[in-house]
Amino acid sequence: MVMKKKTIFMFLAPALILFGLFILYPVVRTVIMSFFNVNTITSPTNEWSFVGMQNYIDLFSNPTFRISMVNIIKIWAITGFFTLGIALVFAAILSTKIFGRKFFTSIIYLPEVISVIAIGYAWLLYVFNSQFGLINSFFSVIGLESLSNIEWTSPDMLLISMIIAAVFGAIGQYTLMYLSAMTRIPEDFYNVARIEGQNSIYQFFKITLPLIKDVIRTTAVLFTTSTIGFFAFARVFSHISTITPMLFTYNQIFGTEINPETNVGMGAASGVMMSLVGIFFFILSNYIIKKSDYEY
Amino acid sequence: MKNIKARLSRMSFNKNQLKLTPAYIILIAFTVFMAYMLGWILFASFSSTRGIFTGNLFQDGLNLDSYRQIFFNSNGLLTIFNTLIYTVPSSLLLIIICAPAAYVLARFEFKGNKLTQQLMVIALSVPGIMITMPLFFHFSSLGVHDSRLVIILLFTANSIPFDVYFLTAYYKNLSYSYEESAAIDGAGPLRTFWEIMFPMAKPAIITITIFNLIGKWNAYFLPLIFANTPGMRPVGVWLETTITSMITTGNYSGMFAAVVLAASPTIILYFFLANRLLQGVEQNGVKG
Amino acid sequence: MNKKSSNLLLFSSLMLMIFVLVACSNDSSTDEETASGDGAGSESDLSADLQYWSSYNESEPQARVLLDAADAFMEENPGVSIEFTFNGRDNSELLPTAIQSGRDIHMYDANAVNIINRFSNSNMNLNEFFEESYPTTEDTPLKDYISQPMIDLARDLGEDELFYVPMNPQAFVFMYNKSIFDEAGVNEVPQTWEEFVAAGEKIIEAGYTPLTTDPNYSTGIFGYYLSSLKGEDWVFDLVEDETYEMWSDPAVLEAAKAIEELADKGFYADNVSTVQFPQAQQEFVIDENIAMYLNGTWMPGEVQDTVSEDFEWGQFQFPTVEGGVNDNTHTAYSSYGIGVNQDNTNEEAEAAFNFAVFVNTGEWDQQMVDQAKALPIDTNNENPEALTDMAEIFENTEGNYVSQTAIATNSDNSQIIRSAFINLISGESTAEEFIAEIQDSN
Repeated sequence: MVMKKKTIFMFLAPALILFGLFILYPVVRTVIMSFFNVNTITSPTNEWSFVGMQNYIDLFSNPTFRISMVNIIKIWAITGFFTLGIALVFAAILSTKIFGRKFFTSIIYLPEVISVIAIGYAWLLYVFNSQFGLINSFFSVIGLESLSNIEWTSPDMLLISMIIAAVFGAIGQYTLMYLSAMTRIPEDFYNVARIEGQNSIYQFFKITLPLIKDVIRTTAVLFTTSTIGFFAFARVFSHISTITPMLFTYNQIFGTEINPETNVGMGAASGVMMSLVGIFFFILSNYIIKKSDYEY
Repeated sequence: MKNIKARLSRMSFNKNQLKLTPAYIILIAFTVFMAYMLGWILFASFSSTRGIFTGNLFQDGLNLDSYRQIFFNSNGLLTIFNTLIYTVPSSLLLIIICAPAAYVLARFEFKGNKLTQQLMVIALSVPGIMITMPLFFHFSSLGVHDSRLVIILLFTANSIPFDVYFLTAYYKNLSYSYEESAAIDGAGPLRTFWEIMFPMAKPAIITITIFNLIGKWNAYFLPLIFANTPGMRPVGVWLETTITSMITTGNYSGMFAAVVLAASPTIILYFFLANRLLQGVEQNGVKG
Repeated sequence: MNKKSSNLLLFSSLMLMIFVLVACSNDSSTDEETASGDGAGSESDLSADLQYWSSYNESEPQARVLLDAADAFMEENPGVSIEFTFNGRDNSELLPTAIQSGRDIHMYDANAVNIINRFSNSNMNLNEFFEESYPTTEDTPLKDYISQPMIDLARDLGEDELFYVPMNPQAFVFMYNKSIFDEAGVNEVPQTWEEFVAAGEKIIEAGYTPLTTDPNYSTGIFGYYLSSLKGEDWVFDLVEDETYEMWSDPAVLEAAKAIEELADKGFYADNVSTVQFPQAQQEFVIDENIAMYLNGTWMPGEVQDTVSEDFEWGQFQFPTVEGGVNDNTHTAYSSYGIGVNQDNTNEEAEAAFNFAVFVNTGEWDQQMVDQAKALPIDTNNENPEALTDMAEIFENTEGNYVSQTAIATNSDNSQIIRSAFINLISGESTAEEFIAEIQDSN
């Protein structure tokens, strides 16, 4: 097909203009900013002073930043594994001829329509609470003292607790994506397996998984890109063991109640590092799950 | 003969259902957990802090103080209004802007096409904080504050990479025959797009709009930076502020009441629309 | 192809954008209290329309007192109108940029340290205003009328200049449950660390738990101990030390050992590693089986909805540590304050300052005391019942530490220290492990 350049431009212009003004330009400016000493977010350009790589050096000698980087890798790996894994299981279940399929689907998707902040506080203030929390009271009612004594909100457990809440908040979306892919697989594929007497677990691994590989790859990429911006849960759980680079950067730019000092140059450097890590993970998840050759 | 067949099929049906027992257990456990969690929070919001801590929610009777306090002191209705104003226009704008862009990116070769697509994909991995610093600076130095227009523009721009990426993937998979026959009919590119190709993408557009509406309704990071004054806050930021203030006054039932109020509009709407919404997303989910 | 219609498309989509945007960009109308007097027949000559940004939340009692005080003030001064924006604690982050971006804000409140550190570009020097007397100061110059420790603190922070009107004084001291002390036979509040440990042991014998804390206040006891031992400046150096070598100092180990001893003896509540603020302070007043909590004087106000009427509050200052450079006459105290924007016109500044005085003296200061259970700034007002011991503590106080002590002042490591410290007080780690955990973070 051919189209005149001018017409192509017309089609693209609104998206490109907004993209350029509100994404491309600010990102470039932030990258430049990361090489300057900038004290406050409102400092005009003539108050910037060039410091070369100093912001990056300061950043990597900052223990909180290093902790936040380790945290985000843990969050990416663990949350990713469980979110996508559980979503696959739910989708596999929901794609069978189960009673109340629509009802269960809508329940699993429900957390998606609730504000992350609400989910975060519901888990932190209620589910994990050591005095009246759901988990601890459930296990003590059924008499499993060892499980009811788990200290979900202690420093060592808080990251795991936050990950559980994050998985809960994210599975709905991915379940639906997988479910949609699975319902597109022609029934014939399964009939053959059934005739050969293969059980449903075999069918899942040998038929379903390979056929939805592309969708899994897409969801892995989507998950990765959303993890870099992991912020709301970290702000709700607000502990050193749950701090993420995004929250660290936010605190660098706007300061905190205890320490009002801001270092916007370092915040910019931190943003650049996050972007690089994000792009790296993006390429990595593309690479791990190679494009498959199946067509259906 | 017929009878036996029917019975056989019923038997296999039962057998299948029996095999699905673990599946039922998982689903029912999840449902019970969800119902219990939401139910307890709802009850706790009508309780008192003392009641919550002593495990006897209604020892002081039904307590409406938390709701009274929230309605009286914070801007519940204004918050809902703000959230709608930020969410709906930006979701509509996104479609009008992104569908044509995705269409030409997917189906026409021109200089810069590949670069544009790559830029969009890279932008997907760039965290929101990267755009906030310069924008905050420019808006401050221009004296622009408390502007809903700015939030709508930000919400729109912020989703352009994903929406273009998503719709481009959809358009790539459509057959070229539609355009060819349109060309034979003598339709220009605009008519071809708006009358044929745009409606062709309806399933994808519905899906992406649902994602946009939900995502923007619950947006937190951008409004935290650009709409964090009492008259401007959307639901997510409002909830955080309200809970923080309840925490300083140690009002646990108030915290849960705030959670209930923030979550209930979407949950109620969701129960009416769940079937249609899920159908839409399920049928047109993401392509690989 | 059809150029006309593609132009039309662009044009109409632009128009649609503009329409949608204009339609919903009506400038935000904030919800604050507004009232402007009718001006005529006014007795006072104050006249200004003021914007007040507060770091309280609308649902906090302090905000309600501010609103009511403003109503009363506007009634007395019909030329003045005051409009509030209650930003909560985010105020400290929002205000500097808001002022720099040209927003009209005439006065603001925040924690004193934040006023000095964060708002230095907008703070007006208020020295002259403090020399004058006001209708509510009984013909005494303001600087001599209100609480002297708070004025001195304001001068210290402002390097001999006054930049804010102090409000809501607060101190970080041990809050204790008098009934438990009585029952355990602890008749005198501890003056030294040994007496403190001995009191705790008696409390355990009587079947109670001596201590609890929420994570955010947890390191206060350690910060106090070190500040007593080595002085506050030393603790500032400690938390700013990027090599973390100072943490190998014997004083750090001594302080950590002292805390480890408390943990070993079972001083801390069992759930101290899991509580999330404000759970521990709620349990302190609801369960009434914990004797002491190192917390701020704001605590009775924060728990006033749940505390039972016969709860007996007591306070004592951090006890003297043997061999330390400071004794228990050193207390971490501070205040909130109201600052005035230096870009104000004279009239606005005058009106703003008058309102700041109005709300912090006489009747309205008493309202703060009554409704928020805060300490008064007006020396003629009475401490709230829950904080009666504070009068004596302030009398004995000679030195000041920063609020919640210097240990928590470096945001690069305050959370790391807190996390390691919670492991220490919950018995998860020893004093040596605690220090190693902090040093290893580097």
